[in-house]
Amino acid sequence: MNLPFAYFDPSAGSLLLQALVGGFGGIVVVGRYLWTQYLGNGAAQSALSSSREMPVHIPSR
Amino acid sequence: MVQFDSGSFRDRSSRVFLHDDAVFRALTAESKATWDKASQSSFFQNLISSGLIVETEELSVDQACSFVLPAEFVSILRHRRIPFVSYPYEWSFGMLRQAALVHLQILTEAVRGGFILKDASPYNVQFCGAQPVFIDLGSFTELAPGEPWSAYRQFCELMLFPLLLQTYRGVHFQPLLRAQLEGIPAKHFMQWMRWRDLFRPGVFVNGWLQSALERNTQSLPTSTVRDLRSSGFHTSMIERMLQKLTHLVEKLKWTPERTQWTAYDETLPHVADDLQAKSEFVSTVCRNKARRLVWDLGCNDGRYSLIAAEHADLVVAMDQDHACIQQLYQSLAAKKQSTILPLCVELANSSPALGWRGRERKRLEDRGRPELVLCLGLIHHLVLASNIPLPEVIDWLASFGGEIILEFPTKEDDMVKALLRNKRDQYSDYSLDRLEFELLKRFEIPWRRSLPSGARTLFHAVPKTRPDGAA
Repeated sequence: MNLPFAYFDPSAGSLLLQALVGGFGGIVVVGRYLWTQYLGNGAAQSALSSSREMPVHIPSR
Repeated sequence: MVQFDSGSFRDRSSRVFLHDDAVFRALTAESKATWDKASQSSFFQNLISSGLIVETEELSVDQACSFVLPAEFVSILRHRRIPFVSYPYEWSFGMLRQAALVHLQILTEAVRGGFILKDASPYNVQFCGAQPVFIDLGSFTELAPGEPWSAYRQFCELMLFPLLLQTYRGVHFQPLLRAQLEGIPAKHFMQWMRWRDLFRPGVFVNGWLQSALERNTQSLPTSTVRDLRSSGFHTSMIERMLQKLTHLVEKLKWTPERTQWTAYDETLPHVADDLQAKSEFVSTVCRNKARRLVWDLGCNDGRYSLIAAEHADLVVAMDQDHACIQQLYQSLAAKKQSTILPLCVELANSSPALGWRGRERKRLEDRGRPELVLCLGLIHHLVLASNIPLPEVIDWLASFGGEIILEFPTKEDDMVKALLRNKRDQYSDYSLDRLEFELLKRFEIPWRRSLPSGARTLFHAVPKTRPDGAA
C-alpha cells in the first residue's frame, strides 16, 4: 500500500515525536526504528570505512 | 477558463474559485473519490449537522459543465459563503484557541472514522461572527494504516506555539503570525522560553523535544513515514497524541492585563456623559435601512457594534487592543453571537496583502465593502497620535464607498488635551471647520449633533451621488 504524503515536509523529528508520546507501544516503535537506522547506518559506515582502507595500487615507474 | 482564488494553490488536488458571489471547490479524481467516501461516513455527517464544517453540496454534472476547468479536475463542490474572511493574525487569543480546538475535534473524529486531515492550518477555520467553522473540505484524506499525522509540526507552528507564547510569556502572537505566514518554528519558540518554562505543560515535549529531534534528524537518508510504518506505528498513537493536545489547549488561559482601553468607559467622564446620545444617534442611523456589512473601527467594548448588529447581517468590530477584542470575543462566544466578528486590527497599519506575490492573503479593505462605517472616538488618535493628516483620514474613510458615522472631539476635549499634553501642536488641520470642509468634498451631511460633554460632535455622512447615479 502506498502511503499518502502531505504537500509539505512534516519533518522526521515531529513524526518520531508522535511515536514517543504514543505510550509504551510508541516507545517500542521508536526503539525498532532506531535499531533499523543503526543497522542501516552501521552497514553504510562499514562499507564506507572499508572503501577508505582499500589499498590503492600505484604503478611504479 | 475558471480563475482560481489567488490563495488556493498549495494543495493541487483541491482548488477554490469564486463565481457570482458563491464559493466553489474543484476536485481532482483522487479528491473526488475521497470526498465520496468521506461525505457518506457518519463522522462527517455529524460534523456537518453540528455546524463545525461549512455547508457544502456537490454540483450535478449539468451544473458543473457550465464551468471550464483544467483537465485534471472532475467535480465541483459549492460551499456556503463566509460573510467576511479573517486571518489568524487578526484573531484574539480566544479565537485562535477555539480554532485549534475545532481542528483537534474534527481531526479526532476523522481519525476514528478512518480519515485524517492533510494539513493543520488555522486558515482552514473561519469565523461567522464568533462561531468557528472548518472550511477546507479538500483537506480530508483516507488514513493509511501505520501512517503518522504529517501535519503535527504545522499544528504546533501555527496554533500551539502562538497560544503557548501568549499564555506563558504574554507575547502577542498576531505580529509574529503576520510576519511569518508559516508560523513559529520550534527552534524560535524555544528562544522565547526561559528554563523554568520547560516545566510548564506542553513546552518540553512539543517545543524542546521536537526542536531537538528536528535538529538531529535533518540528514536522514530514508523516508521516516515509511520507516515508522514498518516499525509498527499504529493509529492509536495519533489518537493518544490528539487527546493530549486537546487537554493541553483546553487548559490554556490568557487573562489580559487591564489596559487603558479595557476600562475606557469607567475612567473617562465624557464617555458616561455622551453614552445615551451616541447610542441614540447610532441606533437612528442604523435602523433607517438594513445593511449587509458594517465596520466598527476602534470598537473598544463593542457597545455600538451591538446596536448596529440589530439591523445588519454582519458587523466587523475592529480594535488594536488585544485585551478589548479578547473580552468582546468571550462575551460574544458565550451568547453564540453570529453577527459580530471581533478582530485585532491596528488601523494605522491594517493587514496588508501578504504571501506569494502578495496575493495569498488579502488586504483588509479587499475582503468586503462596508455599507456603513462607525468611526467613534477614533479620529483624534489617528491624527494626533499616529500623525496621519486629517484629509488623509477622510480620504481613507471615503475609499470604502459607504456611509460613515464620525465622532469628532475638538481641541477643548479632555482626551485631545491629554494626547497633546507633551507634544508640539503641529496639527493646524485638526479643527471642526477643516473636518467639515474635507467631509463635504466627498459626502453630504444629513445629520449632525453636538454631544452633552460639550466638545464632541457626531456626523452622519452619506457619499455624494455622482451624476451617473453611482455613489
